[in-house]
Amino acid sequence: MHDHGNIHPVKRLLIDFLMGGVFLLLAAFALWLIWLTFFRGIYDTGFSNTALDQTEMERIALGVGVGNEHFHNLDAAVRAGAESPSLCLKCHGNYPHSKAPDVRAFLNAHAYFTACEVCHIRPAEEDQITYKWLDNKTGQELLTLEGKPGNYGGMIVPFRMENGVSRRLDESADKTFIEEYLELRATFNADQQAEAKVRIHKEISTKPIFCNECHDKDGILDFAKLKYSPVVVNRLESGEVVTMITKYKKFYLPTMFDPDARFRDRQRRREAE
Amino acid sequence: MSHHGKKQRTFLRLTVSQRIQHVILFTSTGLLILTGFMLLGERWAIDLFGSAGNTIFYWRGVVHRIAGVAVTLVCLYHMVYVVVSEEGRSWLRDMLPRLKDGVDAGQNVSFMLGFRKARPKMDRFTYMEKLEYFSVYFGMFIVILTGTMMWTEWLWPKFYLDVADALHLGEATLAALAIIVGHIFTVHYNPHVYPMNKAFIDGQISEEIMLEEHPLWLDRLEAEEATATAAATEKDVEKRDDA
Repeated sequence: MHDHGNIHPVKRLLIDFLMGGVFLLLAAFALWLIWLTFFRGIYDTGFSNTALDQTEMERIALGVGVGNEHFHNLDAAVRAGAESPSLCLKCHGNYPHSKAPDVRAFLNAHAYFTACEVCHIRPAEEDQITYKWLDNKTGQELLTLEGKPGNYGGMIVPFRMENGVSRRLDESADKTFIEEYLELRATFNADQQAEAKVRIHKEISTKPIFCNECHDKDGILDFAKLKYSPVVVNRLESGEVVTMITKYKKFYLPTMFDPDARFRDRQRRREAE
Repeated sequence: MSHHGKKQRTFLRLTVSQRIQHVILFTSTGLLILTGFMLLGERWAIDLFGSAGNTIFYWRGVVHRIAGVAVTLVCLYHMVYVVVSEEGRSWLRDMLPRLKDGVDAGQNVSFMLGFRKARPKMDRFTYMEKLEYFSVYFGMFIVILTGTMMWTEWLWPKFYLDVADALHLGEATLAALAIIVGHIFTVHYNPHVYPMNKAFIDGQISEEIMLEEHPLWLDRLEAEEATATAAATEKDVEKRDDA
């Protein structure tokens, strides 16, 4: 060891201690790199739930969800949304948007992390509606957003100040009535059903909030207050989301996804002839 | 070549320009390794950042790109330097692989296995240093190319980006391990230089290490010095004669 002989023993000890520490750190890092490359396998984000951790065979063996599961593979976002099914979904189903074929997929995708009332209750001018992320399991407000985009284990829920009290708008004050109606509706005649529906939907706005009313600077949702990082806020307010929505109000989908297209084509050709 | 005292002569191993290039290279490479592998960090480790995580990861990306630009610039500068400047050309000349490097490698391995009594005599750059030096060219080509592709992801089809991603990570892992196991050992933990080879700071190499690792270079420098001294003496004699 070079010119090490003249060094004070205490200094030498300190150098050895430091170099030993650095050696251990480097060795640990090198071993981690090797483990990462050869042994870790698919990166575990730590967000998969127990049901997803089990293999198909294990689930069948344990009888978990056999027969109740969706025919198509559901991703984690769908499962997370299903953890807190809204009362609305009991009638409108897991894919409640079906009327507008060009945007329904976008709307249904939002339903996994957004309470229906976020878009279907339009704040009036004097209204004080605030929006919060609530944990799907505990119902507590999420303090940070962790996980894959949209899949934070929670839902955006609107709150309205009423007589000094903040009320969850996704929990209807008429819950008992709705549940009773769902049980007994078969016995109701058309008029009674219509009357009940009016009562159930009394808070729902006739014109729902459209994409660019939130995905915009100064939009209805304050994304920063919803705990999104500045980068994500920027992306949600400007960037690709708004550009897509504002620039392409009409979505042109390949005809292979539109079973009626061929029929309409044939009809058009026949009419032309 | 410089002489410090009578006992221990030292020689110039790295010029100021080479030392500056090395500082930029190791600082940016260190930052690139740190900020790059953060992306593959374990969940529990990332959780330690708490609510600052988003901000830290935002800056991670910024720092990674800045360090990437720095390393690219220093590599480009170095490529011009080894062609244009005299010291750079001498560096590249001495660095070019020769048949002797293969012989040295074989003899060095047989020395380490105990079949030879002495190490082979090596020149300014050993076969290991040459290998390490040209590996940097290879590695930098891969990571700079794939890094630029990922930075301009909107220009590339996903398949190309997947390949770029795999190559970037693979080369980064290889480079990080090569630096830790090879370079850090050679310049820090090797008993000849422990706790560090100071050449990267003061540019000097001791005669002791010269004799041990680069005896042929020492011979060359001494021969050059002798020729220079002889030439100077001759000039002095000529001047005296003229007078």
